[in-house]
Amino acid sequence: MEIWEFIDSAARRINERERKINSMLQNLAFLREIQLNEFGSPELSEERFVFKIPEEKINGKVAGVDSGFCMRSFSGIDIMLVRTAGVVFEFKNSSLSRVDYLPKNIELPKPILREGLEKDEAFSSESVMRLMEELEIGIKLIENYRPDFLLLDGSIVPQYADKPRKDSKVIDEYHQLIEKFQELYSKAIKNRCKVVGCVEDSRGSRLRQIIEEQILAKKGINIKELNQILDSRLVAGILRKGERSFAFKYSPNIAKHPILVDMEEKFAENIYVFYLKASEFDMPLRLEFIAANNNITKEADKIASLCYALSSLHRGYSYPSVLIEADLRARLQSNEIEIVFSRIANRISPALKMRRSSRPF
Amino acid sequence: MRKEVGVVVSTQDSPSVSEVNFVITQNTVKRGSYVEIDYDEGTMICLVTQLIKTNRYFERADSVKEIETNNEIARNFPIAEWEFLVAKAKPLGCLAELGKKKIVKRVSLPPAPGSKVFAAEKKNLFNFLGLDENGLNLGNVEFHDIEMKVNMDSLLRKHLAIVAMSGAGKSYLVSVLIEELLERKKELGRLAIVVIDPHGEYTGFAEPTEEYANYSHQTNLVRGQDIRISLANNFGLLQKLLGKISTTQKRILSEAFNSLKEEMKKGNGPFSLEELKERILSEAKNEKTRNIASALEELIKLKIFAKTDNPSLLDIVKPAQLTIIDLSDIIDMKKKTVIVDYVASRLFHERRRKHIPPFLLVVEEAHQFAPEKVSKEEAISKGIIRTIAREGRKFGACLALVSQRPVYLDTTALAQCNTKIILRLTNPYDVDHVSKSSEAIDADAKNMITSLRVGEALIVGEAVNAPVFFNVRQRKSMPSKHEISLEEQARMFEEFMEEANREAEAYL
Repeated sequence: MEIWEFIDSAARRINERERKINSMLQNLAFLREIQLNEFGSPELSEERFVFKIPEEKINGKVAGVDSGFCMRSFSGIDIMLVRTAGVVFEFKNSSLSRVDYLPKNIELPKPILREGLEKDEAFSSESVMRLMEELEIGIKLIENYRPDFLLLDGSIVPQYADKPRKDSKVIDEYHQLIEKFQELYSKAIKNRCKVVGCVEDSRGSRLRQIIEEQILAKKGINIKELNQILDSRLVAGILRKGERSFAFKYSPNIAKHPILVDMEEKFAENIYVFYLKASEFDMPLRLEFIAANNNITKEADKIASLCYALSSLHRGYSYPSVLIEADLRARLQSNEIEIVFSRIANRISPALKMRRSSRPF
Repeated sequence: MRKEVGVVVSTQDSPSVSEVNFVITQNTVKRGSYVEIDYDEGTMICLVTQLIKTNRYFERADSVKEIETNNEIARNFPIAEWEFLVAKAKPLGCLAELGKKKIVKRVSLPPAPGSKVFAAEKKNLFNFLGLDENGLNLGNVEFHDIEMKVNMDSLLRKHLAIVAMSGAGKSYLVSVLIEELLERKKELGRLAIVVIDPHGEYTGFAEPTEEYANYSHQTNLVRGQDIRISLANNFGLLQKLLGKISTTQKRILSEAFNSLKEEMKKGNGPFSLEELKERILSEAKNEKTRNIASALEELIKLKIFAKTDNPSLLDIVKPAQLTIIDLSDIIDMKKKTVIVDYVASRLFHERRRKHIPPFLLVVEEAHQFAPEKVSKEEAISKGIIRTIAREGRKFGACLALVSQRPVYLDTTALAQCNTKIILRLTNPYDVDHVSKSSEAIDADAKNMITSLRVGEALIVGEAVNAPVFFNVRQRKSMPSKHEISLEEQARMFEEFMEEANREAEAYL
C-alpha cells in the first residue's frame, strides 16, 4: 500500500469508527436519565449517572504540583534532570488574591544519576523518581501552607508501568514510592486537605466495565463495540459541559490490583474516580480522590465544583489553572537540558555516547 | 555605588559581540540608555536598543481571546509573576585599563550569560563617549546625568550636518551651538561664525535684550538686500552666473573686464556691471555683444554686483563673532544662491590666506544651496560648499549643513560631514538617506530616529565614540520669531491691525 492510499484508508477508518461510536453513544443516551440505585450494585455508589456540578464561589487555598523531566543515557549511566514546582493559589470570592511558590524561585533542575539499569527498570525508575519529587513537594505544601485542596498532575496512585519486577534493582524505590504516597494521604487527612489527582487524556476503562457489567448486562443490552472505546471518549458522549459522572471505586478488588495491593487498605479501599466535563470541546478530565466518609456525592460535588471553576476557562482546553501554573514553572527549557547534557558529552569519549546520538547522518 | 539593573540571558543569538539580551531586574532601563557589563576584556558599554515585555500567559492569541471572552485571565492566573522585561542591547565598545589610563577598545568577546548588568557609570560613560570637559555643551545625555560636552575640534573640523523634519528643533540646536561658540573662552580657541539664514531665524542674536542672554554685541546682522559684491574681484562668479556662453563671447567679456580693471589700477576706481555692459557695447555692436549685454542686464536686475563689497567680510568675521546673513527679505532663489556662493567662497579663500580666523559656516536649508541632482547652473553655490566640505578641514574652514530634506542634499557634501546630529525625522526616504551616509546608524538607531520627540537628538560620527541620544539644552538667547505659537502670531496680528486702525482714525 502506498503512503497516499494508506493516509486515505486511515482517515476513512477513523471517520467510520467515530460514526460507529456516535451511533453507539446515542444508544447509551438513556444513561443520563437512569437511577443507579435501582440496580442494587455496590459498584454504583451514587444515585444517578450524571450530576450537574454545583456552582460555588472559590474561597481558600488550592495547591498544585507538577514536574518537568528529562533523561538521557551515556554508556549505561542514566542521567535524569527533574524540576518540581509547587504552587498555592489563594482565592477570595473566586478571584485569585495571592500566589505562593515552593520552591520560591524557579531553580535549576535537580540531577539524578542511575547506573546499570535494564531498559524497563530505567523507565520505571524515571517515573518513580519523578513521583517521589512531586510527593515530597506536595507534603511540604500541606505542611507549610495548609491548603484546602492539593491537586496532583496525574493519578494519585502509581501506574502499572511504575511497578518493577520483583527481582528488579529498583523494587525498593517502588516501595518507597508507595510509602511516600501513603505519607501524603495521611498528611492530607490530618490537615483536612483533599488530595485530587487530575488526569488528562485518561486511557482507563473501568467505567466502561461498570456500565457493561452492572447496568447493560442487568438490562439485557449487549453493545458489542463498547469494549473498543476508552472511558474518556465514552463519557465525552454522555456528559455535557458542567456535568460530572457518578464516582466509582478505583478498583473493585484491591487484592487483585497490582498496585493497590501494596497499599494500606484504609487508603486503597477508598480511592474514587469520576469524570468531569469542564469544556465544550475538550475531553472530560478524570479526577481521583480518597473518600473521607460515606457521603461520596457530597465529596465528589465539592471536588467537581472546584475543578470545574479552575478548569472551565477555555472552550477547547480544560485543566485546573493551578496545575497550568505549576507546569509553567516546572517545565524544563531546551537550553537548560542542552547545557547539562552537552557539557557532559563534551567531557567524555565519543564512543561512550549513545549510538543513536553519534549517528553521522 | 553601581546600580545593578539586570542579568544577561542566554538566547539563540545572544550574548554575542553584536547583541546582548538581558532580563531587567530594576525597572530603570530605558530604550536609548547605556548599560555596562564587566567581562574578560574590561567594561563593556552597551546601548539599549529595544525593550520587550513578555508573558507566557499571553503568548497565544487564541487562548487569550478565549479566556478573556468569559473570564479575566488576571482573576484566574498569576500573570504578574510571568511578566518579564527583556532588553536588547548593542555592545558599543569596551573600556579597558592600560596602565593607569582607560582606553576604548573594540568588543571581541561576548560577556557570559548570567553576567550582571549595571547602569553605565557617569565617569565611564563620559570617557567612553569621548566627551570633553572643555567641549561645547549641547544638552544632556538621555537618561543619564551627563552633560553632552562635545569636543569642538571633533564636532566641527570635519564638518557637521544637522538634519530633522520641520519643527523638530534644528534652529534651536543651532542656536545652542552658536551660544556655546560665542561664550567660548579665548584660551580654548574661538571660531568666527557665519550663518546663512534664509528665514531670518537667528536675527534675535543681534537684538539687545535683558530678558535673555545678550549676544548683540557679538553679532553682525547683514540683510540680504544690502549685500553687494565687488565686480572687479569676482569675475569668476560673473562667468558662472552667465552660464554657458561661447568662446567668442567669453573673449569679448574678458577683454572688456580686463580693460576696466586696467583702468581701475591706473586710478579710475572700481567699476560697475553697468559700466561693463557699456564697455562691451562700445567696442562693437553686433549680435554677440548684444547677447552678452542682455545677459548682463539680467544680472543688473539682481542688484548684487557693485563697485565694492558690502559688507566687508574681512571686517566682520572675527573670533567669537557671529555674522548672520539674513536672506529672508530676498525672494529670488538665484540671488540667494549667488550670495551664498560669494560668502562661502570669500570665507574659504580668505581663510586659506589666513586673513580671517578659523570659522564655522552654518548653512540653513542646505538642500537649497547644495542640492542633489541639479545642474551646475541652477546650483551656483553647490561647488563651493562641496569644496569646503572636501578641503575645509585643512584650513579651519568648517561647515554645518542644516536641512529638513536630507534626501535632496548633495550626497558628496553630506558624506563629508563626519558628524551628524539627527533630530526627529519621519520621512522614510530622508531616514534612509541619512543612515546610508553614516555607518554608525544601524537598523535599531534608524527605528529610534523616527520616534524621537522634539528636542531629542542623536549624534553620530567623529564627535563621539558611539551614537548618543541627548536632550538639547535650554537655549539662553532670544527665541526666534518662528518659535512663537500660531495662536500668539494670530493674536499679535490682530492687535497690530487694531492699533493701525486706531492710528488711522486718529489721523483722520
